[in-house]
Amino acid sequence: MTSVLIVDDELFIVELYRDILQLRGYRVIGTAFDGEEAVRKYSASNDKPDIIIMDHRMPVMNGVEATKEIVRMNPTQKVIFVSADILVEKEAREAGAKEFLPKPFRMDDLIEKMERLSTP
Amino acid sequence: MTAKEFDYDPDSHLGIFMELLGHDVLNSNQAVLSYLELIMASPCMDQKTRKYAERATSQIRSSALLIENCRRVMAAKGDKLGKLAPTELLPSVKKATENLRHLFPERKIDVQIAPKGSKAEVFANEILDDLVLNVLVTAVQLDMKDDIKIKLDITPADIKGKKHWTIRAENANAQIPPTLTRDLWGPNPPQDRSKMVKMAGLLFARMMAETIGAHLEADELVKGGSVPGCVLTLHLRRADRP
Repeated sequence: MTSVLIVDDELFIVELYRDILQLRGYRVIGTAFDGEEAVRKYSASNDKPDIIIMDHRMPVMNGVEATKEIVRMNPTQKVIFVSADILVEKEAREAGAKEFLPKPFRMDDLIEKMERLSTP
Repeated sequence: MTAKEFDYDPDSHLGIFMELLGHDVLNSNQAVLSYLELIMASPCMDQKTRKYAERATSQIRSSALLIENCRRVMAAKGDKLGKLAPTELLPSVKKATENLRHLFPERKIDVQIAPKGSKAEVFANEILDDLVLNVLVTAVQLDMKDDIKIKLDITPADIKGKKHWTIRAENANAQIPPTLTRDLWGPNPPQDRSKMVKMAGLLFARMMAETIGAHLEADELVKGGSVPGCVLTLHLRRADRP
């Protein structure tokens, strides 16, 4: 079962992703409300997620910075970047994100990208 | 009390305000859209409730598009987009056509594209996708029917001695308000804005077109306004050799 770490500063978004992903058969192994918490949890965890869903605009550390840190620790880590800021796509991809989804998106689009990344 | 008395410069804060507002509105839209998706996935959903949910989805997507348009135009005006380069037009048309169906899930939209599969390169940047989408969205929004038929022609054109690719979007059922053909294209914004309706998409499209040296026109299919039908024409600077 594909495991996921959800990073977003909005509780209602985190809960929403978690509910939908669990319904679709994904294992949500953690959540973080800012980039720094995500990096800290990722670094400390023995059970690394297959996929990270990363928001951009967050307090303390933004999504691009967090993605850079995580990809530096593990260059094969798959990150799906989701942001309401369509202009940040280039930066996100340069930081190491494999996919980009502008908010608002359809959950089917997110699942399609997750399935694509889950396929070896 | 004026803004100055607060020691507040609205111009310098406008960009930040728009960014924050856009982010928060789109986040809320994301949540509403996703919950609507969950509702629509319910097995006990009846046809009528599904229709309501689809209409709500359409309205949320339209509001998201308005925010994205504002941010895209501001980015273009602020020189934050890529430089103009030869760009394939047909993938943008295809993408816009697909997005159109997500934007209006409750309507049956048929876009007939001619020619199919040929190459058409224009000078553009990432704004091209949004520009084409806004033209098609307008062609849908001006039509009150549930079954929408848009005829899309992509043809080469010579305009004032310069080579272009022209997209001509025709909807024979769309009703185009006179304000769209008269006031929107004038050099100065109209003083009486109380009749400015259904213009936002076209106004954005026009501003986007200008940032890449393209030109947009809106007209009645038959001059005189007595019969329905509209034509939206977008002239893009051609990058490939004829």
